[in-house]
Amino acid sequence: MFLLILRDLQFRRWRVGLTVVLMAIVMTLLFIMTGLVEQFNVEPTLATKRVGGEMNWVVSEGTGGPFTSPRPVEATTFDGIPGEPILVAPSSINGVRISLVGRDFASMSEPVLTEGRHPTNAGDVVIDETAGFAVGDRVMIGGQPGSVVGLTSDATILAGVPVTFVTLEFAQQTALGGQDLLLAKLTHGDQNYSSDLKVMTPEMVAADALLPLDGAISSVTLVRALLWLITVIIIAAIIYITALERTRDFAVLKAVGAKTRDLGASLLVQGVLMTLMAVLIAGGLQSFLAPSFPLKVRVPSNAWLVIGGGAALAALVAGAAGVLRVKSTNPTEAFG
Amino acid sequence: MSPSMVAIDNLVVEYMTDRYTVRPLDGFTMHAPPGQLVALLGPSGSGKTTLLSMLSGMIEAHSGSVVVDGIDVLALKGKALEQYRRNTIGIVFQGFNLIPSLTARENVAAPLLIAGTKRKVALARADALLDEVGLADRGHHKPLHLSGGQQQRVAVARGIVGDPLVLLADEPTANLDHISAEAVVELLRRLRDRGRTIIISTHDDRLLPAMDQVVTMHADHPPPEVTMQAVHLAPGEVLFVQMATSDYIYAIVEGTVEIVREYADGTNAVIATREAGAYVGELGPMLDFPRSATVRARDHVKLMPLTIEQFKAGPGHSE
Repeated sequence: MFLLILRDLQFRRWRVGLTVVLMAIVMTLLFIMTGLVEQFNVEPTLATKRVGGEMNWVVSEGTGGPFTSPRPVEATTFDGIPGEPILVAPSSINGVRISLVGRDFASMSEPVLTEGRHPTNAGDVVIDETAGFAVGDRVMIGGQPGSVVGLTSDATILAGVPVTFVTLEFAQQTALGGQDLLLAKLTHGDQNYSSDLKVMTPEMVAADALLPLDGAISSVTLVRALLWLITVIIIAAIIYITALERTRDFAVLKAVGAKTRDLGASLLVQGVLMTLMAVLIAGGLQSFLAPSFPLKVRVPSNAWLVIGGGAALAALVAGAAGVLRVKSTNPTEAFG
Repeated sequence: MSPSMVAIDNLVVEYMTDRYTVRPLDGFTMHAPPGQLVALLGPSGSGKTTLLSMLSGMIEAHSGSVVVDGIDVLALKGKALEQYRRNTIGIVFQGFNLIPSLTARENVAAPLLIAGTKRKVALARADALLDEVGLADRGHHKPLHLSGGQQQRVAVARGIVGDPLVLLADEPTANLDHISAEAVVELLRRLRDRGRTIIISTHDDRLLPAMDQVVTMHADHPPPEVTMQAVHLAPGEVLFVQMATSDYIYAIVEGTVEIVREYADGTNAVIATREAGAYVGELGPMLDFPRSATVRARDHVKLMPLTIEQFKAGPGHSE
């Protein structure tokens, strides 16, 4: 039966090739969409870690979330609270939107750098590498001149907005005109310091930063579902058309002793083989295409299993119509 | 007389099509001893292919018996039937019906591979058979690259790959030129000489002299005796029933008849009526088909039976 599968795939190689390529293109999109959803989901967690490590955020009661609705308050509000003062504010660098973070870097290892050094002077800038800057680049940040002194990774927020690190004083000068305001203090404590302040864990900060992306994530998830549907339809159509075309072959094979079960299985195995070929091509294609996307495409390692296994399962389910066709084929049809 | 390899007695096969029942084989009897080349001769629809399907154990009979090499084919089920198909009979299908994706040798080996024979053994057997049918150098060609005659010889090789006692061939010379047809008949005769019983269906009577036995599949009715006796029917009385053997054409002299189609579920419907001056039952005798409907009297009817010749010589015929 394996010979029959192999020979039929060879015999229909142009159609098989075309179908596999078509499925591979759809599955490439599936990989990329999966990578985008993964990026949307992990981005806030990673960025929160880059900004504040594992520390809790003590913010004013009116702050919804440090990245979504920052409300800086007088620095004195945080007097007596042990921790690192921090300011987060929306800004721009060379006209591109950024999330500006002002902080003291001496006491924390974050952000981990991929190149360069942490900011120590006014105008020193560390930025996520996806922003496209190199160490040494001169930039205008919130109308102030600056210089890129370091690069970091996994420091984007709100679907690709680069987090940019500067000294606290420079951030206050750039974003607040020099006012002594703070957004929060990063602390290891979790007690309520006053009724005007609240404590947000890194998980809460990340969850808040994810809220604006709900619509985008739902949309991409819907597109993913449609891509799955297209994949299943392609597989089902091909298996069914193959079964229709091979009705006479199946009748002959049944007439010379082949079992319906074996013929149906050969049809399904053929569908699964084509699907797995498409998955392999799609995997290669997505790794080639992903870097050209403006957003980081973070394909999780289990996506191979999910997409490969899911598509193979879809091939089995979708192939049921073809198998029914085989079952209904009467060997007397071989007589013409 | 040697015992029959194939013994078919009073075989009746019925099937339903478009709600009504047809009976391609009605009381068919045939016996073929081992090593005989038998031709089933008849036009399309005369039951040749039905008989081959029957012998292959692919369809069920209404009644009668089919015995091949002592095996009651009609009683076979499941694995016994599979075994019978695999070991006792070989089939050569009309139009070759080779698997287009397989090479000639793979096509020949297919029944063995399906049966679980090792690939090397099956292909070696296929090569030997292709050599026997004169296609040793064509084993690696796909059917598309073989002529019709070559494809038919591959199909014959596939039919005998399991070394069956009986080979069934459906129109083995159809669509072949006379040279290829001759080669196929010669091949079948050679296989017959080795003790196989070979049953072929054909509507080509040129093959008949090369056969050991010819079975005519359509009823060979003697010309009906012309009585010219008028037939009188009371209301509701039946002139002839659906599926009866056709004999006369009837001219309606008086009264009206109903033409009734009888369906397999036991229901029937009047599909037409004919009145005095018209004819009824013309096509059955002319085509040598069984009656396609029942004809019964609606009121008191007088009819005159006619032969085909008398009908053709008459003043005309009805629609």
